Amino acid sequence: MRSPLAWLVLSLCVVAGCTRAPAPAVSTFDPDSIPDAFAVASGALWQAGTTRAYLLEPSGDLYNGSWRVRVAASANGALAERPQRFASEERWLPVVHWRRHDGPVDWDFSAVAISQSSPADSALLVSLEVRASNRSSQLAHARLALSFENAGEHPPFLVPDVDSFPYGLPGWAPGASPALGWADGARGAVASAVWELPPAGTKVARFLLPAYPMRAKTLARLARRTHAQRLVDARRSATDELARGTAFELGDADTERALRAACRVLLAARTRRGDSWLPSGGPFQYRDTWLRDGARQIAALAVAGFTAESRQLARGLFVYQWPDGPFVSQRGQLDGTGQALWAIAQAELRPAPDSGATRATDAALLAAGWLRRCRALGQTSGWPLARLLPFGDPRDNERVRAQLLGNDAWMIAGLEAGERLARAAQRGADAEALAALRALHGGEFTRALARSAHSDIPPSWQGVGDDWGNLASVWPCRAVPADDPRAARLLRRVWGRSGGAGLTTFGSRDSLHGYVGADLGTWALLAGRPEQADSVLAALLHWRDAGGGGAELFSRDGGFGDNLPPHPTSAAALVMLVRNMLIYDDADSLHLTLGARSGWWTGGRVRRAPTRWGLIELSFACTPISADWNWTAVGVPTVLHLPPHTHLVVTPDAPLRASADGRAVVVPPGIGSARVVLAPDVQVARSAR
Amino acid sequence: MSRARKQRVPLPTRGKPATAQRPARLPAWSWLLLLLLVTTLWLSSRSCARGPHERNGSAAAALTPEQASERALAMHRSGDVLAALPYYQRALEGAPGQDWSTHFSYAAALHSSLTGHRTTHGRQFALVASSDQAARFAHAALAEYQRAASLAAAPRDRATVLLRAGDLYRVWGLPWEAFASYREALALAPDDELIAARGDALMLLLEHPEHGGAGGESSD
Repeated sequence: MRSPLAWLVLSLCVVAGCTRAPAPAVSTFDPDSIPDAFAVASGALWQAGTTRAYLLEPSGDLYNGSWRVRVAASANGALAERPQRFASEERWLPVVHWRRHDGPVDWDFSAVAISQSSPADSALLVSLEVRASNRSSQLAHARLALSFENAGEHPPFLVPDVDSFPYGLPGWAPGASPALGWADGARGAVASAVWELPPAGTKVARFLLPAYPMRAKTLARLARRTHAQRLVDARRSATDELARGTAFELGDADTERALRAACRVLLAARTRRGDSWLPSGGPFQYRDTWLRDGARQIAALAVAGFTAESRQLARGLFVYQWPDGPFVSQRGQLDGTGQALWAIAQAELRPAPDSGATRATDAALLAAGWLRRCRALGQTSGWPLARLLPFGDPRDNERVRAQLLGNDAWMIAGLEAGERLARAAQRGADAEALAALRALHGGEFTRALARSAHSDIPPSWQGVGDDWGNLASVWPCRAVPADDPRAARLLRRVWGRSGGAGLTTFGSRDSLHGYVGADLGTWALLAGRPEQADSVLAALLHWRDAGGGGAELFSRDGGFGDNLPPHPTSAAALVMLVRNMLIYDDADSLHLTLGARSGWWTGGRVRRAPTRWGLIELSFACTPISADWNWTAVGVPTVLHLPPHTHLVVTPDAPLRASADGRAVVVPPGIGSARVVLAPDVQVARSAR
Repeated sequence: MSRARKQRVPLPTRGKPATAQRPARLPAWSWLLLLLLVTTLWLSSRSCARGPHERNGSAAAALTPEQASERALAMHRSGDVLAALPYYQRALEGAPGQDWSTHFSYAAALHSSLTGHRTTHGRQFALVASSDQAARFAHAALAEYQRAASLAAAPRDRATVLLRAGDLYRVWGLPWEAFASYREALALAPDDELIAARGDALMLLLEHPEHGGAGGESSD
């Protein structure tokens, strides 16, 4: 009997399948041509409903939070360089490529995550193909070895159900079962291939990497579908999935692909709990639900046309409601109540309410009861701020224990959401009660803000803490009007610190936050500052990895440490901002082209866009002297915003009318097309001359 | 297998040529033994696949409520709060379910499991791995505290229950509910200094949250 060490050493084998004739080129895609804003390459292989994912590490290894797949590639004895990029095809598809160079040999990797359904949780596995190509004019000796190792001492993250292998890590199937990987003919601890590559010669090896130990027989069955077939499946599946949502055809490939990447992240970041689904904070270090993130994800999915997924997630949030009324997902985070109600309304009311509005109204009433009790208890104390929500200790980005202004702002948003849900459920009296409470608490909020010694909108009523929920007070909370001078001062302070409109800093000036300031972009739209909204969009588009994902927190030089992308809230921020630039329906009128970029006016179209007044289609275009809109008529007034840097030349024909500032045209309900005559603004015309 | 029944295998006789022999047919009892072994292994693997909670659940179901209650308390005392939960559930199905203390202990076990940690691979993980499970446990603990308070006849017992319910609210970040619970407890046990102190401390924090003990540490 061999000793384990001997077995480890002797198990080195040549993978028979590695020496097969090269398969047809999978793609001419060059991963290193795809932009990546971050300093370190990383990638994610993940799927909705699975409990683990694979991180593509800067070293070129794969890690799932429990064990690592070490990939050693060398030619003529020299190890291959680290990959520069882990790039998704078209920067959004779930097929990831990376390249490692190594003197004469190029190592091209392609991988895709597969969700393997089982009666319990769906299991994830990765289909990986490695292609070695000799670019030199001489024979090259190439060696590829994949082995498993434990997470090590300082892993980037650990899964809570991390495996223990007291007798050593299982090896490769078909030799081992259960196994941590499959390669044709492999057994033991290392799957390896040794190739003599003639000039221009190519060899290919294929591997399957499950996220949990898997039976050899199952792996063998899964391996029957070739890697090329798996890639085709993944591309088709992702394309079909996104085709169900809103189509943004803006003549702007970068933004369109960024939207697709964002939607993929939002759809993948879903966790299954029995028959329910919950939002997930990401594939790696944030695998849990935070209402403050999940609410954004649900809203973004709702406006992006993924009604079913959005409602599924929204209905999952009821698990967080206490019998007393508040929604709390993480201890001390009292903004959850308003966020949950807001998210539920975002999902339930677009494009039209269904029976879900009734249950949501009940939840809103329960939450309103909680607020009334808090206010009543506060009233008895006699303190100046006691009728606002009590202190929160969120142990999160506010980094303070205080009465957080954002908690009240979100509560106001939640009450408005509750009122809309109650009206949708035909419960007029409940809607009135919720509206009255919103007015009462909104009044308290406004008075407290007026009394605040802070010149803008502070993070907390005590004035302490980092900016967080207060940044949402204009939008989405609508607790502060967009034209409030305090809001303008908040913007000036926050963007002044970060160096201009775009992402905001967090903690030190050197750190940028991937989403917390994105709400200010929509605030800028509502305040008639589309250029600033444009800058926020530009920053969101820039700060993405080669897979199309944004991160949460990173330094200006692109380092993100262990805060691994992609982050769903960054994805949600991008979707919400672009959508609001085109279609904004949070107010009582439908606003179109509120901040559409100049380039989008060459014939922009949005199809299958859910709004609170139904599913709409929108097309818009302009010439130097006119602008045209065609859209699905709705039962409320529509406000058409002019292209950037233009103004009306003549008063539009009735029943259209110009807005007070002359930058928009107001259209009565029931009309779905308009044309106006316009001219460039003076300064634009001058600069053009 | 006992040592007495273990028999030595006879060695082949030296000098006698080895000839191929038809293997002896296995007796019927060995097939039965094999079947029993396979069944045991299968059941064992099923049991492993179900996880410790389900295993404990089926073990608890096999006990009487009274036995389950004793077992739950023993596990709870030894700190194995998660494992104790199915035993408490079983206990509540019988006579112990009419006693406030069983509800109280069950609530306390749920409550403790929310704040407990385990260390795996050198890192701390919450005993309850996900926020939705934590929310379910917290809501269940609250319901059990409320049931215990309604069953407890002695005011001091009810005060004890309400104190712990207040702690649950406080830990979860619902300070007004916690405060109300402490005050209700104090009304039942006016001379209880612990209850009074906890209510007073919270009152101070409600008025001046930015002061007082540690707060604002990042969970990320």
